[in-house]
Amino acid sequence: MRSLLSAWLDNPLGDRVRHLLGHNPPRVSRPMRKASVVSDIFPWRVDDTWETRFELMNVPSFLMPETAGPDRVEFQIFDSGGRLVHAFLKDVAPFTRVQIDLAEHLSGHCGYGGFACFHAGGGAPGLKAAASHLCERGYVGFKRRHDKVWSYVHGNQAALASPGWRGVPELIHGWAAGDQVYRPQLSFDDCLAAEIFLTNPTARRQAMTLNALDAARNPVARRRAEIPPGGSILVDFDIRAYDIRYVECVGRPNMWRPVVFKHYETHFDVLHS
Amino acid sequence: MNFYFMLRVPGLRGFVDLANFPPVALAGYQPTEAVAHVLWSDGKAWQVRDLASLPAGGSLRVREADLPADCPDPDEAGVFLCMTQSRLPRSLDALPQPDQPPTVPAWRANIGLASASTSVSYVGEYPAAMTRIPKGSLVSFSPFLQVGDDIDTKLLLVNLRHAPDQGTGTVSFADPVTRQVQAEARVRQNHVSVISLADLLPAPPGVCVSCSRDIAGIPLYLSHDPEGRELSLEHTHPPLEMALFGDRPKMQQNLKRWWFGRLVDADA
Repeated sequence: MRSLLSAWLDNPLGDRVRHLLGHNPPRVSRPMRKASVVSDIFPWRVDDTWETRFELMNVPSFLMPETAGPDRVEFQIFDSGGRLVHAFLKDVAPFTRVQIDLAEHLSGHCGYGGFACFHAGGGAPGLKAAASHLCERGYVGFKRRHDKVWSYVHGNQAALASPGWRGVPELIHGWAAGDQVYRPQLSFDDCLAAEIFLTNPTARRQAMTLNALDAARNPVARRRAEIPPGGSILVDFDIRAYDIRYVECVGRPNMWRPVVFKHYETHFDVLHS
Repeated sequence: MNFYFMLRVPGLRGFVDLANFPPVALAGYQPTEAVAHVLWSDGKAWQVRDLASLPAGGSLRVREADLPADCPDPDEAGVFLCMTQSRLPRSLDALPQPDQPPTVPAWRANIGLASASTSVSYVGEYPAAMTRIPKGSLVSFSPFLQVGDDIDTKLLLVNLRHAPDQGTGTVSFADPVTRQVQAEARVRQNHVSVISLADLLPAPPGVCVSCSRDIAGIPLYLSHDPEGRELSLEHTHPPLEMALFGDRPKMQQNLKRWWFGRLVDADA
């Protein structure tokens, strides 16, 4: 009976039913439409200190070079509350990339938030034949205004599926019935301060707890917050003041992996965890 | 289940933060002490040295300076790390089997480089499954090469094989628009090959295609200024990450075949 149910639910609608029933919910639900394209929600931060840029590749041409053509990408930028700040189209020639300076598209907004990129060509024969969806997981660069070198991190959390231009994207990342713990496998004791950047890639408001632990894994600091769907949060820890060595992310989203900014006396390091 | 690697780049100091705790809760997992090992190939066998013990739930920073005295120079061999629950013989015919249970995401380490005034790192691993690929190939699309204006980008190509081979392979760097190969470089098995792209590609294309028909690996790109005051390090995704769900390996296979068949040598 159980295997029959699993077979019956092995489709995009079934993914959503599994979520509702709490029956082995998938990490990421398949988009409802076969031609939908998928994007991570990437972090941006722009203010007096920070600049952000995105290396927007013509992904369809690299993935399906035999049918390469111009790509028209819908770029959507969200504020930290998950509200759409700005959407625009960008054309990218085959086998090239365009550098998107986020500050030029924020209409005066500053601070931090998320953004997504939806490529054209979601219904390409190569994708249909493989039952796959085009996915943007590219590379975001951060730098402080006086730096010369950009520091890059790639996306690591498929979150949004779009049916096409002006269509309403659907948040497809899954969540569990109860809290899960994600432990970044890195230590923080080499830096002065750290910032933990989390987006909510799910369709529900999510409660988040960040536990900071010492070397013996005793909790020494804790931050709690709620993040709306598509929203994001940047939490800072004074590493030296609390003698922090590890951080744990607790919440219901599957594999809730933050982007980490580590701050040192002379520099910063940014990495996906 | 995984291996890690020490980045050894002239003028910088490599480090690896090993974690003896899983990234997620695992049913039935019992935290235990682990032994960190360093490994290198001498061409006939894997040389193995115990480094230190890691307490259950703890971590350990292994610096380049912590490597054993008989560890070969960076030009001679690549240096890899792994963790097991017990000590290992000093010499092995093939890579050992690390003891960590499989996890999603993978059990990783923080791998980085430091200079006198800065440091950079990324969280990654060399999957044990990749070490058993018989031959392997590589196609990588990098849109973030930073070359010029006193900035260099180096390709650090990590290759690890089950057997202690010391063969070589060739990586080609091509402009995807013209499909012309602009430069080639020799890389080594069981090594972290360091290739300066400023020397090879003074004017790199917007997206650089790095590909090899005869060696697999993880391509890392290190950008830095001449003094090593600013560093940037990131790897590229395997091409199949451009698709989600379905038969992604098939798509990657088709894509590799296409690129291998279309790139033309610079002097052709």
